[in-house]
Amino acid sequence: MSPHHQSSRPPHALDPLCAGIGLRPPHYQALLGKPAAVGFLEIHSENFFGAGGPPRRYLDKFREDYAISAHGVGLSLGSADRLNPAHLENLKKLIDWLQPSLVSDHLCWVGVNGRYLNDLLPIPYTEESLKHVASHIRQTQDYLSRQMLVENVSSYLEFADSTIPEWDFLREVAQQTGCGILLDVNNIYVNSINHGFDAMQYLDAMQGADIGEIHLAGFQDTGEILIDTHGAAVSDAVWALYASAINRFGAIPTLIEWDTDIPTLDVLLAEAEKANVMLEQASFAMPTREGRRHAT
Amino acid sequence: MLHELQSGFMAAVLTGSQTELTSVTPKIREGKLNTAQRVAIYRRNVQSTLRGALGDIFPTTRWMLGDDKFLNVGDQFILHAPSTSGDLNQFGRSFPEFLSAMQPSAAADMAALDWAWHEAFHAAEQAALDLSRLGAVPAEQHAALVFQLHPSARLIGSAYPLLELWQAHQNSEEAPLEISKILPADHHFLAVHRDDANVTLTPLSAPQFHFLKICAEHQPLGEAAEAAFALDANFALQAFLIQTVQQNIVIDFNEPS
Ligand SMILES: [Fe+2]
Repeated sequence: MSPHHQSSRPPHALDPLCAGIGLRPPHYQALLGKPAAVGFLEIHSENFFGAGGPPRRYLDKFREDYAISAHGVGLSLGSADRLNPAHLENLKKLIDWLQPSLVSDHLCWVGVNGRYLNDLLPIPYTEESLKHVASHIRQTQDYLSRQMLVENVSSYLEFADSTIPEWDFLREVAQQTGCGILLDVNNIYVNSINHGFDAMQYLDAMQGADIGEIHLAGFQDTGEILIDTHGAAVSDAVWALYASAINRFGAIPTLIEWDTDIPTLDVLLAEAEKANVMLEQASFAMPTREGRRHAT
Repeated sequence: MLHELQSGFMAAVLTGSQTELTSVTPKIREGKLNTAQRVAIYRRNVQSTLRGALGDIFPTTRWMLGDDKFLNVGDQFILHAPSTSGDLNQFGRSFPEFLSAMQPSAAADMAALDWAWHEAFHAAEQAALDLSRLGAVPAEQHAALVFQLHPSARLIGSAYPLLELWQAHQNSEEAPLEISKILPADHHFLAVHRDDANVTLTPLSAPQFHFLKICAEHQPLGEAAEAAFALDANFALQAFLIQTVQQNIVIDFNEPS
C-alpha cells in the first residue's frame, strides 16, 4: 500500500501564541526528533507538487506532528495572463492530500505570456490591477474551495501609473474577495525605507480580523536600498514594528522565514522563541484575538 | 495596460538590453535610484534564482562542465528557453536537448541523466508487484501481457560511460577528465528509478535496455522479448523480469482483455 493515501484527518489547530518556521531540507533530520519544537511548519508548496518520493515522504511524517502552512510562490495572481490551470491543479492535489491549516501566495506577478521570471514582481496599484487580481483570487479560492491568504511583497520600484497606496490596495483585495492577509512585517519595513512612507500608516490601514498570518525575515542593506533576502536575522526595527502590529491586532500565527544562507535549527528556534515572548506579552495586553473578533 | 507593462518589464529583466530598458523607463518612478538600477536589482534576483535552479537540478552536468562553462551555457539557455512554469522544479526540462543541439557531448547526455534523476526523485509512489499474481496467469497468455514500469523509471542510452562519470562525481568533488577527451566509444545503458525512497541507477545490457524500452511503450511482453532475443539469443528473460520486479522497476501488468 502506498503511504500516501488521502487523509480525512482535520488539520492541526494553529496556536497563535507559538511561532513557526519554514520547513527546509537542511533541518529535516534535526526536526524529525523534535515533535513540538515550533508552533507550525511552512512549506513552499511548489516543492511538494511531485506526487511522491522523499519530499512527500518527509512531509507525510511532519504533518503527523505539526500544523502545516502551504505557502506558494508561483500562482502569479497579479499577472495579466489568466491563471495557469496546471499550476492550480497541482496546488489542489497537494492541498487535498495535505489538508494544511493555511494556504497562501503573494500579491504579485511571477510571469506573463506563458513565461516566468520566478521572482515576486510588484504590480501597479491601479483600479485595473485591483479588479484583475481580485478576480484571480476569487477563482483560486473557488477552485480550492477554501480561503487563501495573500501576502504583501518587498519591492525595489514603484510604477508611475499607481494611484492607490499599497496598504489600501492590500486591504481592498481582502475586502473584495474575502481572502485573508499574510502580513509580512519585514516587507512593510523594507518598502517603507525603499519608497519613503511611514510603516505605521500601513498598519493603520489594516483590519486586524483580515490578518491570518505574519511573516518575519531578514533583509540586506546595500546602503541605497533594502533587499529582502530571507538570509539574515530579523532586524531590531522589524521586531519593533512587529510588536506594534501584535499589540494592536492581538496574537497572530507568526512565521520566521530564512531561505538563503540557512542557519542551524537552533538559530531559527531562538528567533521563534523571541516571537513567542512578544506574542505572550501581546496576549496579556489583549487577552484573545478571537474574543475581540466576536465582540465586533 | 497591465499586459503591456508586464511584457515590457519582463523583456527588460530577461535581456538586460538598453532598448527594452528605455521602453519601460517612463513607467517606473525614479528616486534615490534610477530606473536602470531598479531593473538591474530584479535582473540580478531573477538570474540568481534561475541559475540556482539549474545548478540544483543538474549538479553532475555542472561538475563536468565546470562552474564557468555551466554558467555560460546556463545563461544562454535562460534566454533561449525561459521558464514556463511558476514551479521552478519544471525549469530545465529542455536543457539536455539544448546542450546536445549546441554540440552532442558527454555533458549533454549527463544533463539527460540529471533530469531523469530529478524527475525520479519527485515521481509518484507505487506498490511493488506481487510475483504470485504473474504465476497465476497461464503460460500461453504471457506473451500478450503488457507490463508497466514504476512512475519514477527512466531509461537512458548514451555513447558515453555516464554511470562511471556519475559515480565519480558522487565520490569526489575533483574536476573530471577534460570533457573533450571523453570520446563516444560504446553504447551504455542504464535505468534511473526509485527503489523505495532512494533514486538508484542500474546498469543495463543492450537487450535489457531494449526490453524495458518496449515495455515502457506499452507493447506486450512478446514484442519486448523478441527485441531482446534478437540482440542476444541467450537473453535470460525470466531472471531479468524477476530482478526488475524486485527492484521495483516493473510494478504491474495488464492481463489481455
Ligand atoms: Fe514573506
